[in-house]
Amino acid sequence: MKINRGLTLSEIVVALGLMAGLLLVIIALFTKLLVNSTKNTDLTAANLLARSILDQSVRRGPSNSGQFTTPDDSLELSTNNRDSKTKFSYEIQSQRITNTHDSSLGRLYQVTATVSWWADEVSQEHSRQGYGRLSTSISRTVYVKE
Amino acid sequence: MELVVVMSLLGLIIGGAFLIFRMGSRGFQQAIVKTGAVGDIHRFSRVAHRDIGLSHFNSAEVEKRQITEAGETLERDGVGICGLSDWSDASNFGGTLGLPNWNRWTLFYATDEAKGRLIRLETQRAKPSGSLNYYPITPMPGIADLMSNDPIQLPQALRVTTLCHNVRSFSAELDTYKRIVKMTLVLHNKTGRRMTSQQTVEDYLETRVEIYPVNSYPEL
Repeated sequence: MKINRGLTLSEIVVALGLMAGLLLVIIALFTKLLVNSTKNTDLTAANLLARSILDQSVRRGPSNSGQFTTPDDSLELSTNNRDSKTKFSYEIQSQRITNTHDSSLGRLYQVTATVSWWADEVSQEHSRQGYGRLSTSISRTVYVKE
Repeated sequence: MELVVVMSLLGLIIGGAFLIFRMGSRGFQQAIVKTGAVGDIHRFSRVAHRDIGLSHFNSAEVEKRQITEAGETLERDGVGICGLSDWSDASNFGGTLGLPNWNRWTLFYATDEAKGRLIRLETQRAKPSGSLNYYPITPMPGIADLMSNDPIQLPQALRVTTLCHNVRSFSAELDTYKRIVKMTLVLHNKTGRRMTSQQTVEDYLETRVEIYPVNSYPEL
């Protein structure tokens, strides 16, 4: 005959421990979900900004030193919270692509706009750990007539 | 005694499961609202780059408008520019130069409701009086009359699209020196409560777009 003796204290402790661990994992997953969602929002704003400054820089053309530039280097936008702004810093890098075949074709440049960001509010309260790469870049090949 | 212990443990487990469920649903809700706002911004950016980017700067006009919401002054501007009914139709390009027959006006504006909507409205652009073609190009007239909260009812409306919901402010300006159209769009969503507290989360998403209309030459 089978004896129904119930659970021992150690078994209950182990079961509760397992459950607590599982709950912690679930909480961490939800937190990660929010972090990624926030990052996705910033990435969207950064991509649009990168496109705008790349357009602007390409329209201005290369300077006398042969480099593409942009007049400003940062912009603050409210991408998550109204009171705290996210600072988007950007830079333009350009590289001359040598055309050895025919110089009459003009000059070719590879122009890259890189935008990086970090929220002021987050920087005061948290570290960057877990946020991954907080920058984006887009490139364009630009033809400049000689 | 055993019953009390078991009931307490059960209560703890059920309470914990409920808290986790509540946190999860709040987190999902916030993520969904954010994703929706990002989708709206993408839609606005894509359509604005297509319509304004292919247009002529001389036809651009901005109508400034403000509303007061909860003691704050918010911009709900409109920006109009000429366009084409169909870029793939060869009959929309005329003359010896093959210039576009600008036969449409495209207007982007935010409604003046508390939770605004960003509308794209397309209307007919007639040939200027006394002209045999669609030139000269002049700034879009009568924008204020078209900035309606119910644009489908407008007799001039050929196509109406809602690009974004929950618009807080939409401002536009023309940079006549750089010949670009600048627009700032701010979306505001209430995403419910924080995952770990009762504090209400309000999500703001601001974006700035600067578009150069590439067909601005020749300046006819």
